[in-house]
Amino acid sequence: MVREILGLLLKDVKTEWRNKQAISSIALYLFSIILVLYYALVRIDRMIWSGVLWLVLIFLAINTITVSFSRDVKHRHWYFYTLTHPLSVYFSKAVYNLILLLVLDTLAILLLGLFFNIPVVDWPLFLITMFLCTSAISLILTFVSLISAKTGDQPVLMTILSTPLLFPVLMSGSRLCLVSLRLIQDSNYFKDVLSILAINMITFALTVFLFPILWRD
Amino acid sequence: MILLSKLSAVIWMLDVDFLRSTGKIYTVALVALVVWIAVLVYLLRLEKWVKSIEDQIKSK
Amino acid sequence: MVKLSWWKWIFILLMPYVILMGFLVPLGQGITELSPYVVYPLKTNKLDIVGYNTRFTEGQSIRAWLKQGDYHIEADNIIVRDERHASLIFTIPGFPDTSKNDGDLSLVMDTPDGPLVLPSAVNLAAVKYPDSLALISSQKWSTNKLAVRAESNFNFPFRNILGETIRNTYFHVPLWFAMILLFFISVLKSIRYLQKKQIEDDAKAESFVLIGVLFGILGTVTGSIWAKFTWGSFWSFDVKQNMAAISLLIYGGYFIIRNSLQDPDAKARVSGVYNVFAFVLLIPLIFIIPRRYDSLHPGNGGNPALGSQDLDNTMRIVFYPAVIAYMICGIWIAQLRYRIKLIYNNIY
Repeated sequence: MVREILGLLLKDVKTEWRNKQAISSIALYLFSIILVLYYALVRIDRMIWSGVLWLVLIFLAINTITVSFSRDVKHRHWYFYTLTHPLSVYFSKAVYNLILLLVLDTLAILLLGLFFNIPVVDWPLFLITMFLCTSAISLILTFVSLISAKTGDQPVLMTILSTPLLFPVLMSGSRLCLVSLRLIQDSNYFKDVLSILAINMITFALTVFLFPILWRD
Repeated sequence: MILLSKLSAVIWMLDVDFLRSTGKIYTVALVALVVWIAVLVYLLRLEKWVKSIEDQIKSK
Repeated sequence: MVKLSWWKWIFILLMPYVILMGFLVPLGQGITELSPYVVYPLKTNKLDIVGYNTRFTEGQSIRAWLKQGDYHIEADNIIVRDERHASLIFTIPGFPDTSKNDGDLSLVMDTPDGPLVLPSAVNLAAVKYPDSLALISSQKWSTNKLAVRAESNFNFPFRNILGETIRNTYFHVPLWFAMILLFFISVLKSIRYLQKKQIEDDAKAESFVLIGVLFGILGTVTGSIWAKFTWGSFWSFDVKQNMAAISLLIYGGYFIIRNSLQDPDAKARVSGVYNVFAFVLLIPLIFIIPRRYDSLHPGNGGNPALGSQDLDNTMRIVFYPAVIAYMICGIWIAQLRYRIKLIYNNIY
């Protein structure tokens, strides 16, 4: 099964590398958002930098995963998926989304640093937070996108379903971000890291159980 | 006189100190009971109706 | 009359009990106003108190103490003006523990009706005094057991900010307990459907989720009404309030999924999977995250709400039957709904 996951993953990465369709469109969205922010805000204070970053991250996440799944033309790719175990479909998509989101997140942070500054004080905590939150977001949103692909009414469902499910990640993640900016002094921040890790593991376990049931057509 | 000046500065909570003695709490309890009895009567009527329809389906 | 199951009779009998007990049992004694807030050592302090449900004039044996930790000091004199107003005269020579020289003192009173406690009543101002007084002060503070008489009547505790609204505990909190139970039952039905593929289980799951969401909305509305009168505003962005709203939104997604699918089998399967997913996410949201943050809700920022701090023994007599009554009410309504649903599916 691991070979199937790697095979599907490589297929996705190769198609992406060849025409760079998804990543370039989302990067364009990202760039235009940062530009609008620059014109509107001119200067971002330390106080709101974390909020701006999280808004951009949520926007990126929802758009990326919507685009990356709707690109699959129904007939061609569905044939591949019927040959493989449902979980390998899910995990290849989740890892692919994770890589995509990580690249776009780094791009977002760099662009924010270009136009405004990056007031991060505690880099290790910040990087760990970003990685854990991105993986949690990718796991949850891939699951939701696969549910909504079944119903056929994809974009609406994606946005509506994903927003409440992302709240726990958002709360802990934004709190950790504020701590790494030294805006709040929270000596007990490890609890937040543990809670995001727990969300990752719970989602992982749930999808291992639930996804094959969902996928049988 | 001190008494009167203190009484004039009561907040809403102290307005009815011994709620029972002013009788207002009995009104609240009675209203709650009436509302609950209305809900109960509605539930019982629903039960009756559902039972009759289910019996009709079973007898067919 | 209609023939009802035995558990529906429990609801019919318990609910009037909860309503009558909840409203008619009087509140215990408490202190609503105390001035001034600061007491000074080496001075005579006169504290004016306004009581609630107190009877200061009946019986002459009223005593008062100021307490910090294990130490307490008794009032020199108590002047009673009427049933609810009194003045307490304290002379405090110094601090009980000379290493700590400030802090809050609690007020404990002994009345014929029982004890009267106001935690963190006054603040003892930090004043320097010569060391020779330290010996005198440690003699006047004593650590003997306070001689208070037991509570003589059956009443609900008086808590400072809540006052009479503590009765809302019987009508607001059981809504949430019932909601959790209804969601749990719906998850069981969903799992059963996914194993056995009988459409009745899916109808049951859907009705239980619907009634659970109804109870959740009722709980949010009653909670915000309660918050308006005790915390000052309808929505205080308290952690538990936020978490409740988020869980309702997550279950709203359940209905959106059901509406967007036509095929009943696919509808049941996908919404069943989402139901399990949402419930497993809900448990940490409602139970674990609020304990981690400080919150306005009693019982959070630390212990769960069913400890002895928040739920007196007299309240438990009415609270547990209320929880049971609400749970049965929820199950009854949900059962009626899915029976009606099955009827409509049979006919059409």
